[in-house]
Amino acid sequence: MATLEKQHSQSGPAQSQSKSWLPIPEPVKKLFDSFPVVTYPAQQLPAGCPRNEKLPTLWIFTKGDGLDANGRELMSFNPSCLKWQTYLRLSSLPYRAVPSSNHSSPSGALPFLIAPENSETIPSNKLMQWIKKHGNPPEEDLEDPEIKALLALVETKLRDAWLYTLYLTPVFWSLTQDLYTSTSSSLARLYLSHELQQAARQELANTRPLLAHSLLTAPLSYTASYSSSIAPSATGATSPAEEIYADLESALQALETILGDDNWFHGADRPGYFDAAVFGYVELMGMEGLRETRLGEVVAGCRGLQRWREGVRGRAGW
Amino acid sequence: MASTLRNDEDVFDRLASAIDPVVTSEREKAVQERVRAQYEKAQKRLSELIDSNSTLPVTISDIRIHGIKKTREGFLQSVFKEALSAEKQADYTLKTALEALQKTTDKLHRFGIFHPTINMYLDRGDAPGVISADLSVSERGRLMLNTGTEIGNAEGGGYLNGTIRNVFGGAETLYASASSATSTADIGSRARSAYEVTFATPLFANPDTVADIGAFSSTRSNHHVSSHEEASKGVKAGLKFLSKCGNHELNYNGVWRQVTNLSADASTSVRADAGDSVKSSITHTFTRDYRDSTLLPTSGYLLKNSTEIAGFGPLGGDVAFVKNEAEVQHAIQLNHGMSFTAGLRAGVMCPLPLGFGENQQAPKASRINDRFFLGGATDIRGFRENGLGPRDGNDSVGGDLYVAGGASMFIPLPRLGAQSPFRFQAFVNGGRLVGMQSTGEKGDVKTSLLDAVREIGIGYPSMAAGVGLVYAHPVARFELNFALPVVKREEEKGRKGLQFGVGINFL
Repeated sequence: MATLEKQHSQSGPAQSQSKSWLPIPEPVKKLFDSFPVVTYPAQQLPAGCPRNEKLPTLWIFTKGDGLDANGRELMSFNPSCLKWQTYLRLSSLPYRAVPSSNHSSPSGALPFLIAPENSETIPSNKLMQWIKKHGNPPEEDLEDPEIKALLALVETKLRDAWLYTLYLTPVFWSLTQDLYTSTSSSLARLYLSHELQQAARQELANTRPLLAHSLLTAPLSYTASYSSSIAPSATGATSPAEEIYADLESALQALETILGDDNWFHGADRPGYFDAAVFGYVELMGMEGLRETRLGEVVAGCRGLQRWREGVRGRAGW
Repeated sequence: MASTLRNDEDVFDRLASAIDPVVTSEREKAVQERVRAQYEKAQKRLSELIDSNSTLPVTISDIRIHGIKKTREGFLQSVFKEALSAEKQADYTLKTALEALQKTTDKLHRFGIFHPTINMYLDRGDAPGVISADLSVSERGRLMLNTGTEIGNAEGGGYLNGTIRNVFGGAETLYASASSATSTADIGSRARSAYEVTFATPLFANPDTVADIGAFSSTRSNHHVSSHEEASKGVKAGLKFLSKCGNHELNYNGVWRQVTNLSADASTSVRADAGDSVKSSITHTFTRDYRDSTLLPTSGYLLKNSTEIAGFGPLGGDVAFVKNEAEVQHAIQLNHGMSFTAGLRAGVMCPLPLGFGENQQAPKASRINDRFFLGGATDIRGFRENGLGPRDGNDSVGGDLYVAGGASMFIPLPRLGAQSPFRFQAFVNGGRLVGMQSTGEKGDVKTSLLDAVREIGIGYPSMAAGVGLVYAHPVARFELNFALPVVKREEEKGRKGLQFGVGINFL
């Protein structure tokens, strides 16, 4: 409506008269235009509203205000958010992290970025383009079929194991619930927890149609150990957990082999998007609260990836 | 029957044949006439009796009630207790005793469980100076269902209400409702839906002291004013009571709110406040309404104050603030059926530390779903809905402090006169809505609040003036005005020309 109004007032008198359903006589129009008699400058936004932002803001899942005790930015606990955080750093683009939730995002998922100059909102699927335009990202051929296939591997096998461990094992109650529910009310948290677990279950069932039945029908675990929380499916010999963790192991093995003795993936001279994408998972799989789980144990065993992870941390300034 | 019977056959013939309607109606008329005469005579005798004996000391031996089906005996005894108390009995004269009985029937009325005709008969007791009362009532139906459609401010929808009266025989009410509305108004689409269940019961058999408890769930689209939708689920508990000064309402609310489903072009301010928050608050509302009509007052005044404390101390939740809103309105009757109404509203909200003890958190800046909004056909005419105050892009983000005032002159329309619900009005109204500039970590809340008060005083308030037609329908007031904004802030959204308003509470 605001834009409509602007167009209207900008258009010439002849045009506005033809648009109007009742021709307004010139003196009446003049009278109208003289109102309001006094116009003061716009007033300041309330304190809770972000204003005068000089840096691009990256809206992510993060703890508290997103800063540690020393005022340094915290890593997001969400692999996708951490990927973009890291990639912005690797592309030498200064930004500010804003704690947020999926409700804020134009796409319904974090992260997204708001550009400082025009407050334009950039969802994650347009971020790469934006970073290329404004930053200095490393040269990479992301259209290369091999790299594409590997990225798909990360986004399925690593992601499935991550989702499974965080949402469908007791880790959910010891870790995930606190990370992803922002309210302090226990009733609201319980409701949200149920929603989160259901969503994760559905997500996993979609990527693994053969396991869908056992994933969707199994009761959600509250106390059972993570490896046996979902029973073997009736048709196959392996349980969803077994299959998901076996896939994780082989995927990590493949990544180790491809990395070899190089500093960065694909022998690049500086870490890029691919490194950031793998880093998002590998870094977080070793986080506090996950080390004792199978996920943490598997990833800790990958020596090559651990060496590479330290390298990326250093480059990204974490 | 006047005619004599000849034989049995004849009786059946006569019964079978249609009764002459003229005869019947004449007969009825005669009966009615006689009843009326008797009644008038009785009334006359009663009033003579009362007049001549008004100072006669009496006692009420008992109050009997007829026509009770569901209402509990104990409940009724509590209702009558006051009139029958030994203390009062000692001082009764015939006049005051009748007044006490009248008060009791009024009380019965106000529970809303009886049909409005409650008859009272007096009887002389065994001893001299002793009276007893017989009340005859009929209970209203237990279940009431309502469905219908509503047409509001450019929106339409339907509702379904159900009420169970007198649930446990003590004038308790169980109320459930579901409503939804959708429409495409001139400024984008809006939709809302609401579900509610409430159980209310009078306390101490007093219709003016009511406790209620309930749960609700609603979604409301604010896309047209600030690019988001708010979904709430919550529980509430309340207590209504009267004092010498006016009506009081004490409420607890625990609400989980979700600011979600943002528009694609939502501003950064709205995005920053999106997500979940729980408000746990206690509100006290005081109302003293001495106006002759709430929709179109011509005399009397209204005082209203509402204080809400959220999240402080043991209340918990995610937001902590104290919020106060006050309203005064005064109506003056003038000559020739004209009247003048002036009103003033003001509100302030101030962040508080959340929680208590070691976990206490510093005061946080207010959120969009807690702030005040101002502007629109029912509060400040000549501005768009929520058109006043700070804006971020297309979104009005609300403020922490506001003042709004208005004055209207009402003139009866020629031919229709002052008795009709139509008026011509001329009005001036205006206000300010400002945000506190810093809270919590860096700024001191007090300084920030004082700065906001100072800001309100800078320059003229945003104002508009106009003329229009007012129609006070029994349910709501309708206004069609022509208004022009006179003073405004750059970002504020004025509305030049015609504006239509429907509401109950106008400035």
